Amino acid sequence: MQTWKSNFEETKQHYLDWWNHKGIVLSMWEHIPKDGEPYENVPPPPPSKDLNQFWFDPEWRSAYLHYTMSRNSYLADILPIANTQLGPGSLAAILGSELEAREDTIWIREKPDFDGRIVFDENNKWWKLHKDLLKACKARSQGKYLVGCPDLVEGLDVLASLKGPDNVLVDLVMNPEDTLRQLQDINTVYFRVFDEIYDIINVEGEMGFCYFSLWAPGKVTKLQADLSIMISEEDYRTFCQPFLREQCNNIDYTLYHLDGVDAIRHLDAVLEIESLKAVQWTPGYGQPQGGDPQWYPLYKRILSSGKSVMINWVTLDEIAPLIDNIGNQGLHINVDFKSEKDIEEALKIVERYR
Amino acid sequence: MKSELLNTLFECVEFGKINLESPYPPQMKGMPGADEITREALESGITPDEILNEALIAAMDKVGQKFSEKKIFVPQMLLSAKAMNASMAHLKPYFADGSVKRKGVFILGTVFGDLHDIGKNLVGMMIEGAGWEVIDLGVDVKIDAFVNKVKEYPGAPVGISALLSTTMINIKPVIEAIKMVSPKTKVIVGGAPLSAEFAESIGADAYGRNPQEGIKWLESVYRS
Repeated sequence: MQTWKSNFEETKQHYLDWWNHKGIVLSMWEHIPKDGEPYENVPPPPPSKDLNQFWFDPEWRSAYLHYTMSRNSYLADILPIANTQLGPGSLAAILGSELEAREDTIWIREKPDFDGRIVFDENNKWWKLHKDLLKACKARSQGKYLVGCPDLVEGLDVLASLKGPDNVLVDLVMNPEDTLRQLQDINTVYFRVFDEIYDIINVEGEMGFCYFSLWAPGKVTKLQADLSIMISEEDYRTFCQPFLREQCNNIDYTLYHLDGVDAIRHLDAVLEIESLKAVQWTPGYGQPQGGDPQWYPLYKRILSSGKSVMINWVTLDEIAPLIDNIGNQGLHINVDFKSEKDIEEALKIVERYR
Repeated sequence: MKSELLNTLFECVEFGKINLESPYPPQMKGMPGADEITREALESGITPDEILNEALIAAMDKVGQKFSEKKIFVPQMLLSAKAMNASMAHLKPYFADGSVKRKGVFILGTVFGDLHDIGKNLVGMMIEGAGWEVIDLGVDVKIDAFVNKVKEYPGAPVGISALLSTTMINIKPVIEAIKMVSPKTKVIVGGAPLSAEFAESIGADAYGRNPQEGIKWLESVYRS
């Protein structure tokens, strides 16, 4: 595969090492434009007619992604992955929720007639859109970049998008058996959908994920349970951990997205999942971001459990102290780069530790 | 008898026992819940005021404390709120005829551009449990909707929530519009990405980190 990322083989080795709890990956959240000429002179599509076309028209969106991918920087370990996301948790749409196009994101509306059954419908319009979009992007990419897996999400978060978070939380107490059955059914559909997506987007077995800068030489996904900040540790072990474990056992490379200070109390349960490979930490708005020394003990805790760690929104001046304090093995550092000059600066620092 | 019924009702609300059929909490399975106990209390001559103040408000205050101390979590809090609502349903006629008075009206909504409602709902339930009438405008609430409700309920404090860093900035124009038509209206803001500093920077009168803080602030506004 000859991509627009000239150092992709080197980056792949960094990722392989990282998944194996070694070395450092230096990347960023999504992309910035490259300096100079594009990799190819790809014409931009005409302006989108409306938000629905911007997000939900496979031909238009694949053309737009192709255009932007031809102009992105892939220095350091920044990945050539087209972001095909269809909302944060689009598995819920595949199961009957509605997607609503907004300026900067896609909203997922609860399924108004949810009757408690988790039913996968091969003819669901949003499932069809997932496949059409991914196929259109794959056809256009011609191996020059990877097509990312949309942010499907799973478990309690998907259930919340179907029947509302209040109802999910009440049912944990009032209808625990039904809830466990629904979560199991969600996992079953997840694997069905995920595998079909993998079949569309993989290139020689390799795969990329839309968010969290993820590449792997096999199936890879990001896992989460954002709703868990509202439940006890005991409930997490009942309603989250078994289903996450099943995902980790079935998917080759998995990263857990730990979101917010209130989620830290579930970290022990997360780290108990033997086949989970890495944990990403999101401190949340209003908190010091990923490179702050406040989080060093958290990173050490993750690393000492045998998992790799992903650290986001690190600034240039935080990189060296971070590595000095938590070591140089199993780190994925995402920097909020503003320019290719920033990337070169960060590379110089990281190379000292490789 | 009176004190026993009020204590039982307090426990029903504290532990989330809604009614006889409710299987939760396990230790109260098969026992009457807030619904039945409230009916019995009214029939026995206990006044709605006593039920409201000595059982419901007091129990919800304890629930809020336990939540703040992380002794219980949102599911348990929601069940307590449901038990409180089951009791409140019996008190509605007394609110309607004015024989029982609420502490005031609180206007609540999630800012435009944001569809998250769990935090707002929790705040609404707890504030209602503290004795206030809550006007819940829902999610994705436009500026005009807040302003119109402020005009309808002059002097009522307003709570605005946002869950995303991309939508919290929408709160500022809402506050500006409210203050434009009603400079004395007090506004409290809350939501995961917000902070006291941010609240001050956008002209809010207060920031509520959790429902309990919101109630404390409201009580101070009510008393002043």
